[in-house]
Amino acid sequence: MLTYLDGRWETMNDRANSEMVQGTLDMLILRTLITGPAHGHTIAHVIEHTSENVLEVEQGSLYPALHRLEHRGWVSSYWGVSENNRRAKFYKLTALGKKQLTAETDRWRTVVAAIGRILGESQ
Amino acid sequence: VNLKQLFRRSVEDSELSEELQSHLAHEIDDNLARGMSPEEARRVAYVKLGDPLRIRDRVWETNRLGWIEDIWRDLRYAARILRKAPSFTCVALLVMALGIGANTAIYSFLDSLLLSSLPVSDPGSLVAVNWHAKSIDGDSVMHSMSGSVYDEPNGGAISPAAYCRSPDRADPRSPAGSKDRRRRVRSQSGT
Repeated sequence: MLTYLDGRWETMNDRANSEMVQGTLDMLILRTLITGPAHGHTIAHVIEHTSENVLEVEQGSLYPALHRLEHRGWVSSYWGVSENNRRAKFYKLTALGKKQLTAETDRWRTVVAAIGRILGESQ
Repeated sequence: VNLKQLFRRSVEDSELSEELQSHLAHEIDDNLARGMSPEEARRVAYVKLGDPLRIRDRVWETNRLGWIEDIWRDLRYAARILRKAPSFTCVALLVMALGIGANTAIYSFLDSLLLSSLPVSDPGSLVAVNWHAKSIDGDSVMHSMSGSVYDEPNGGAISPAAYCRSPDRADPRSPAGSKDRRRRVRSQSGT
C-alpha cells in the first residue's frame, strides 16, 4: 500500500522510491470531482476504493491539497449537507480545473508510456 | 492568494476546523457502520486523520503570502511588545527623537554656516570638480578636487596627469616641481 505523505506516495518500508508519483494527489482529486461535487471524506474514500486500496490518502495531506487547489481556482467550495445528513464542505470542479485535469492526465500518460517503453513493455 | 484572503485568515481557519470536524464525524459514521463500538470508532477516526492542528498548519503554510504576511506579523508583534513595556518605549522614543533632532539641528546649522553663506554672489552655482585619469603605472585614479583647484606653475591649462595619485608620492596634491599655489574657489564663481 502506498500512503500519500508530505507530497509523495510512500510505502511503509521504502520511503524513497515513490517520488515519481509526486503531485499526483492533485490529479486524482480533480479526477474524482469529475463525477460531481464531493466533500473531503468522500474524495479520500473514492480514491482508496477505486485504486482497490493500493493508494491510501493520508488525510493530513488531503485537506492542504484541497485548499491549494481551491486557491489556484481549480475547484470551488460550498457548505452543504452530506449523505449522512451532516454539514460538510463540498468541492466542485471549475472549468479551469477541468483544463488542468486534462493537462495533468496527458502528462501522466506520456510519462507512464515512456517508462513502459524503457522497461520493454509491449505497446 | 490575495490581500482579501490575508485578512480572512482567521475566518478560513475556523472554517477548516469545522471541515475537519465534519470529516471526523463522517469517518466515525463509517466506523460505526463497520460494527465498531462508539469509542473505538471515535479513536480510529482520530488516529486516521492525525493531528488537526498540524493539518491547519500545513494549510496555512500552503496559503501564506510570504514576506508581506511576515512583516505584518512582525509589526503587530512589535506593537504588542512595545505596549507591554511603556517605560522602555518612552526611553527608546526619546533617545531616537533626540538623536534625529540633534542630527537635523547640527546639519542645518552647518548647512547655513558652510554651504549657504559662502562669500560669493551665487553659492548655488559652485561646483565640485572630480578628475578621472590614468597614472603612469596604468592605475585608474579618481581625485576629488572639491573646494580648491591648483594653478599650473607655467600658467597653462590644468593637466589631469599632474594631479594623479601615484604610489611613490606621499602627498598627491603636491606634484614634484610645481609650486603649490592655491586659488580660492570663489574666483571661479564668475557671477
